[in-house]
Formats: sequence, C-alpha cells, structure tokens
Amino acid sequence: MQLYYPSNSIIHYMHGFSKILIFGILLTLIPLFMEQPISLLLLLFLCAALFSYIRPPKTHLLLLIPVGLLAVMMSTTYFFADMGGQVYLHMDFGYWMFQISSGNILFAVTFILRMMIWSLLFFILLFTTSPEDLVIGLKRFGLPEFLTLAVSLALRYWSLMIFDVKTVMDAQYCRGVDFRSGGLLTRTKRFASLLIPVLFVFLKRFRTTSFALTLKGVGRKNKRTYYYNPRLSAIDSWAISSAALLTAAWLTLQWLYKL
Amino acid sequence: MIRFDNYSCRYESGKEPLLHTLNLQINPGEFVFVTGPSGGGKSTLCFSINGLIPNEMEGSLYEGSVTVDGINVQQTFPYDLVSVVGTVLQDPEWQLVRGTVKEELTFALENMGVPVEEIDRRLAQVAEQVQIKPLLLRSSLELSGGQKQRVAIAACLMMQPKVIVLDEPTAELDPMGKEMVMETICELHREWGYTVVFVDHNLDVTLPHASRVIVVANGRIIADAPPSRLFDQQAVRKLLPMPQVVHLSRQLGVRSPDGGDPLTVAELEEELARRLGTRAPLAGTNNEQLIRDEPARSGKPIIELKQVRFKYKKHDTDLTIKPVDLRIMQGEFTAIIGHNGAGKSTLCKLITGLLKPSSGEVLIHGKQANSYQAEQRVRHVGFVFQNPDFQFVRRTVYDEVAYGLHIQRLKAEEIDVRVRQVTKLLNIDNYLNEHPHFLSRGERRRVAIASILALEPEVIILDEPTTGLDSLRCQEMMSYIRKLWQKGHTIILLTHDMRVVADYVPRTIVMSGGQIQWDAPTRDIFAKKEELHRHQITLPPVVELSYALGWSVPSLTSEEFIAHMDREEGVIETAAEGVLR
Amino acid sequence: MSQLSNPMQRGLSQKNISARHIVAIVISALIYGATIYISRYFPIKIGTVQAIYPAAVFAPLFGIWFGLWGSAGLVVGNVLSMLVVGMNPAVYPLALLAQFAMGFIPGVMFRKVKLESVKDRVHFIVVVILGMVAGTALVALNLILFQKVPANVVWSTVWAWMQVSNTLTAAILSPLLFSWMSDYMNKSGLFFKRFWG
Repeated sequence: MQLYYPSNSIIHYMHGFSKILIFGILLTLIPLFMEQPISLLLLLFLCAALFSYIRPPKTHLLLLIPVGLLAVMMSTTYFFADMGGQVYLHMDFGYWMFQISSGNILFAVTFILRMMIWSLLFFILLFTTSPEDLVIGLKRFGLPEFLTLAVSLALRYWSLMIFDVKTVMDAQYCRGVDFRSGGLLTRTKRFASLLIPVLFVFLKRFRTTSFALTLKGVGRKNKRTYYYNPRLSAIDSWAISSAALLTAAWLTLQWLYKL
Repeated sequence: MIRFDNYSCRYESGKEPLLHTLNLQINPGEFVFVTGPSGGGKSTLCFSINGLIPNEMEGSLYEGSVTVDGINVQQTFPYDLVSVVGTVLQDPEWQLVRGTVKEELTFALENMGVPVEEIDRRLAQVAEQVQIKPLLLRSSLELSGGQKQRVAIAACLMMQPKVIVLDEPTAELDPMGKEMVMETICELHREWGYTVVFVDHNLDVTLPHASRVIVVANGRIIADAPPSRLFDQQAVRKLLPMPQVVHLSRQLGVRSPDGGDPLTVAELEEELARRLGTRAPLAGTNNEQLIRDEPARSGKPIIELKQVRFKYKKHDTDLTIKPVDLRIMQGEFTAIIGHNGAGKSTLCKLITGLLKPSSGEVLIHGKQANSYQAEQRVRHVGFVFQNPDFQFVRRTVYDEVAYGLHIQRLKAEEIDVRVRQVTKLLNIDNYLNEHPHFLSRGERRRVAIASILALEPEVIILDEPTTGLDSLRCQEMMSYIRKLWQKGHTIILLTHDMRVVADYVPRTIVMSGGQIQWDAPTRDIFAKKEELHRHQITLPPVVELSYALGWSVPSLTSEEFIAHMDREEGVIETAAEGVLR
Repeated sequence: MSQLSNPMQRGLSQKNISARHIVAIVISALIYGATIYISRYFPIKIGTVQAIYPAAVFAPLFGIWFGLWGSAGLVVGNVLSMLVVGMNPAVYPLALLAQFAMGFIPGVMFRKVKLESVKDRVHFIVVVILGMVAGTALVALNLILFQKVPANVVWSTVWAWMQVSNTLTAAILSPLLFSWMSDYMNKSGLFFKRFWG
C-alpha cells in the first residue's frame, strides 16, 4: 500500500503515535460534535489547507474522487426519510418513501462535509506516515505485539495481493470469462470463479509465511528489542497539546453555543 | 555438524513415511547438494534439520533424532534454533516479511532480543559479506527475484547460524537471479566456511559447486557421493537426467584425471583438448548439415503486431513496449526470451487482449484483435499462466478442463469428447476425478494447459511451463508441448530456460528494454554469444562448449555436438591415416 | 498398547501465540480485503448498497477455519480496505466489531471442517445467519451513532437490505463454499481444531 510519500513538512517529521492521536482521533472527534454546515465548511477549509501544506503528489489527489463519490452515495440515504423542512418532491413506494426537502438536503450536505473532513484528516495521516511508523504509533497505544505484527504484514502483502487478484482475473479472462456482461446469475457464477482461485492462492501461501516467521524467531518468549524506536520530540508534545486544546475548546463552545 | 540417527518421519494422516529410517552425517564446512525427483523427500530432509518437522508442521510424527551442532532438533522449537540453522525458502516474495531490506535484516535479531549495538555490528558485517549495502533502504517490493533471495540469505546470516539450509532458492528465478544466488552461496561456503545444505533440481548449475551430492527419492537416500562420481551409480542414472556437461563427457568417453566426470564446460574443454592432443584444431568447422528444420515461415500470418506501443500508466514517460513489429505464422514454434522486465509478458498480454496497446495494431487473422469478443478470442489465442493455481476453479480435473467449454455453451457430448482427447494427449486422463490442487506441480501445469487446449485455440502461449520442474518432468513437459506443435498448434513459449530453447524451439525472439532485439532461427540467436551476455542471457553448456572449442556455428543439443565430434574425429583420423600412409 | 503399535512421536506442543496464529490473521485479512477489492468489478448496486457483498460469504468461513484468529483477520482486512479509500476506522468502531462478530459467532458455535449430515448443514446455516444478523445490526448502529443517519431509515432501508446482501447471500453461498473447500482444508492441515488455535 503506497500511500506514504517522503517529504519535508513538519507533519512528516512527527511521531506515528502523535499523528494517529491528532488526525485519527482528536480532530476526528470535532465533526461528530458539529451540527452547523457553516462550521463544518470552515473546518473543511482548514483541513484542506493542512492537506495542501503536505503537498501530495497528483496521483494521490485522485484518491479524493472515490471518497467524494462514496460520501455523495451514502448521503442519499437521507432522502429515504422525512428530515423536515420544505418538501420539493415526495414519492411513496409502499413500505419505503423518497423525499427531497430542505431538511433532507441539509442533512445530506452535513453528512458529505463530515465525511470529507474525516477523509482529509485521515489522508494527512496516511500520506505522511510510513507503514513502519504507523505500526510503531499503534504499538504505543498499547496494541499487543502479535497484532501490530499482523497489521504490518498485511500492509506489506497488500500490493502483492492486488497483483495476484489481477492475475487471477486475467487467467479467467483467458478462459473466456467476462465479468462485465451477462445477467445477475451469470455474473455471480463468473464472480465465484474468481473467488475460488484467490482463496487457494492465498491459503497455499499460509505455510510459506508461517515458516518464514517462525524461522525469523517469531514466537520466542524472550524480551524483544526494538531496533527502530523513535522517541516523541518537542514538535510532538507541542502538536498533541495544541490538538487536545483545540478539541477541548471546540467541545466547550459546542456545549455552550451549539455551533 | 548435522547428524541423523535412525530418523524417520511421516504425516499422521499419511500411509507412507515422508522419510524412511535413515542415518546421515554432514561435516562442518561441507557444501551438500540435495537433489532428486519432486515429492521425493528433499524438503522434508531440510525441514527435519531446521525443526519445522515435527515442531511446526501440524500432524507430523517422527522417530529417532536429528542433532545439529550438538542440539537435539526435535526437542527444540524452530524459533529457538535459528541461531544454529538458518533457512532460505523457495518463494522469494512471501518469505520476506518486512517493508525494507534493513528491517528484514534486523527483524530476527529483534525477536531474539539482541542489543541494538550488536545488531548494528552484525548489519555492517553482513551487508559487506553479501554485498547488499546499496539495497538496505530499499523496499523489498522494488527488488528483483535474485536480489530478494540474496536479502533472504543475508537475513539468515544476521543470526550467525552454523548451517545454512536452502530449499530450492533458485527455482523461481531467471538465469541472472540464479547466478546471483549461486555466487553468494559459493562465496559464503568458500570464504566464510559455512556448512551449506542446498536443495535444487538444476544439476547443470549446482553440481560443479557442491562437495557432496545426496539424491533423495521416495523418502530414501538413493545416493551419497562426490559430484564427479554421482553418475557412476546406475540407480542415479535411472532417476536423474545427466547435466549436459556430464552427458557429453560420458558420450564422448571423456573422464577427468581423477577418473570422475568433468563438471564444468572449462573442465570438459580441457579434457577434450588433452584428448585431441596435437590433432588439427576444430576452429572454423561448419556443421550446416546438422541444422534442424527451420521454422515454417511459409504459412499464413496468424498474429501480427504493427508498430505496437504500450505503457502501463498514462503519465509514465517511458514506454514498457517500444514500437514493436512482429509476425507469427501458422504452425510456428517460437520462444520469447529476455531477462525479467524485458517486456515478454507484456507483449503476450497485448497479443491475448489482456492489455490494450497505447498505439499501433494487434491483428489476429488480419482482423483487429479487439474486434473479437472474449469468448471468440480464446478460440484463436490461449494463454497458460506460469502458476496454474491462478486459474483452477473446479474440484475435479475433468470439470476443470470442461469449465471453459461450458462457458462456450457446447453440448455435453462434445465437451466430454474434447476433455477426454486433451487429457489423454497430456497424459492426465488417470486423474480425471482428482482434485487439481492435490496434483504435483507438473501435473497441475498439464491440467492448466489441457483446460486451454480444450478450447482448441490455434495459438497457445505458455508462460514458463518448465519453471520449478525437475529435469525429468521438464523433459516430459517439453515433449508434450512438442506434441501439440506437431499436431498443428502454433506455440509461443516464454522461458528463461536456455537449454529448453536450444533443445526444442526453432525460432527465438530476444526482448530487452521493451523492444525486440533479435528475431531469428535459434541457432543464429545463439551465435550472438557476446551480445546475448550483454542482455543478461546465459548460454546452454553445449553452446558454450562449441564456442570454447572455437566452432563458428554452435551445436544446440548434446546429440548434435556428439555427431559433430564423431564426424570431426573421423575426419582427423582419416587425415592422420592418410599422413601415415 | 497404542504406544507399541505406533512408536512415532509428536513434536513439542505450542502454548503461546505463534507464527501460525499471526499468519491466520494476515491471510484472512488479505482474502477478505481481496474480496472487497474484487467487489468493485461487480457493479450491481441497489441504491447505496452492494447487491451482493461477497466478503460476507467469507466471514463465517474464516471464523470456523481459523477460530479467533480468523475473526480478528476480518477486522484487519476491513481496516485495510478502509485505508485505501480514506475511511478512518476510528469512525466505524461498531462496523469493525461487526466484522469480528460475523466470524466469531459461527466460529465459536461450529467447529467442524466438513458438513457431514443434514443436521450439520442446518447447524451451519443457523450459525451463519446468527452471525450475520448480529453483525449487520452492529453496522446499523454504527450508522446511527457515528454517521448520524436517522434510525428509521437505517432499520427500514439499510439494515433490511443487508439481510439480503449479507445474511441471505452468506446463508446460501457460505455452505457451498465451505463444502467446496472442506477437502482441501482437511488434507492441507490448515484447519484450526480449537477455536483458540
């Protein structure tokens, strides 16, 4: 998974733990307690500013498209309920209904803004943190060794997996299997023809990977050394304090003024 | 160093032992080459040394004992044994478990709780030993197969083991990768005195480096001899095809001064020179009459590529395939060779329609390739992937071969006829009710070929059909492929095995840097000795020997070489007799 | 007596978490992630919900094959598929718990590698349905609590359809796939006989 790219922004130099805490948790909490679209829009601008500060490459910018589409698609669920306001269109489908009203639109927009803020924050974290630093950050949260190792292995093998899935699709295509035509049943069957080789290909690797880990001393009972073990720096302390303060301030304001 | 005492092992569920009772001793500093047919017990021997059997492999049972450096392997967890036995596995991709090379090297020592300063010391030493300093900060995903295996070896050395066990580490590598790994292992053995247990099929490459060869078959040690004496034993001759140099020397009746077989081209050349003595030099001799049938270029073109260009990403500045023009005639047998990343697979994916060219035309029977539907196209061009596991979707061989025919909605009777025909041709008709995943690697490949062949494509493209097969299975596989060619199919073979190319294929295309460098009869290709080396292509021993003897036109097979030698010797003897008269 | 007829010995018994357990998490995560990846090539959607969610078919299988470790793998796999599209797992805690439940419930209630009788089949389908209903309920709760989607919409639209896309699909396809793979899982020795590994 090649989301990380090296650069020289301050965020790049921060510890994985700080970034997970700040961008993955603290700042992520704020939109949950933000009801007004204008406040969300302001926060979105702030996040976008931070996002542009880390100067992601063009190819990384493209990742915002599927997120945006997903947010828009998910927001349509609000149109299946009556969220109040002026009604522009109403359709009844027996058990279900579809309605476009000012309330529905407001909720949908709020939802999209919230999703986009979360995605930007999360991309800032992923784009500036190498998989190794991400795992070290998680470890500092107290995750057990076996779980952090599993996560780092899954990250390491992810791109190999994508490659293998593509090869399986190619191999099936070469036998005349077309995935983008035919009815639901035909497509389901053809789809199944993909899942089975994928399952076998990965299960067959179970042994190799398990042996490889054992032969590198995984499972030993002695205390482990951490060769790469960066410490939290002054930047980290400063950033964590600021983010915590900002979150606390916002929660207080929200509690007092319902922004 | 390693000692097997009345040791045997088996699976709980299996009837036959994996290894029958054996006694064996391997001394410190030996380079032991373990070989034998697939499934014969070579890997079991390795896994009994590093303790994966019985302490990691579920359901394995043992009796007797194996000791390494005085430690009883069966009474020790494999992860506690890593500082005594280091292991390199076959799969270069999945045995590397960390993101960067440096992390990979330090990982085991971290698990062992070694202090950071000591890790640093060993890192510097191993990077020097295996010469991977420039790779340390690179991601393992960016490395070539050979480099990955070198990293796996280095990771092993970090634990400072007494023994290094390598289980077919070169099976999935291209010739350069193989050479790189062999070089590293030999260096470690020669310079640093490691005890090495090396499992492999490739006798041509490994035999000259080993100090001792153990042949394992059906769970038993069939032979245990120095490499030059290995083929003195009849049981071995029956079981293993000889490496080309040994085969040639035995055919010519040449022996080394110590009475054993010469093992390298240089040794054989030296012996031949000694034998020929003062006889006339063979340089400049022509063997035109031995040249085999050249490709039938008179047929109609079946595949044509006109100025085809390709790049994987729009924004890429470099083309993966630079303008390529290619014409494949009906009934041809063509090999495409070149190092990893030369563009061979991409070219074939363009032909099969898996990729669309960025520009240019791919024509099948003169019609635009993309005008064919997926179902129609498979009747013209079939592609057999290197790893058959990528395509198996059914639970029996019969259903697997019939699968593509069902997609084409053929009648049950016709499907049955075709399935039986192709499985008989490829000699897998005895396994029709077997689960494809439980067959051996060679059999699985044949099922994969059969499932494509059943679709009756005119052209069959095979990606590395002989990789990972032992020599006997490799010969078998190639004779099946030749049979398909003789039946009128057009065959395109992507391979790294130059001996296969020299032995079987009349036309060869050399690719490098996304371009076709040469496209000519195989003999002409192998005549470009120096140029081929520049494109990282190694020559088969018989071709090397032809050049070493100064022949202008190389022999491609052992048979050709021997016939040539017989002729030459006949000429020389007649001449000598004439002089005497 | 059995000692005499079978003098062969077993290896040392492993008590702590070993490589096998970790790889069970990783392989489950990768296959689960792969199926979510493949879903993109199966673009049949009803509204916002995937008509068939193939990952649901695998979830009970990993719980049964690899026990607790397979269930944990489902969570890791789901996190991975979220990372690629920029979804922060912290906002979907109950949805992650749902993935675990989809494997955990069948895994803890059914510990066989083969469906040998009709009773086995019925048992299998029941545990799959239980796991799916519980899992989808957690996903629905996540939508209500964290995405702030109105509860009536979630239960009447999203959760209702998930009973088709997840529960029904898994109830039909999981037993088929399980039977399909049982020979291999049995012979290859990959099946974890105990839920805890």
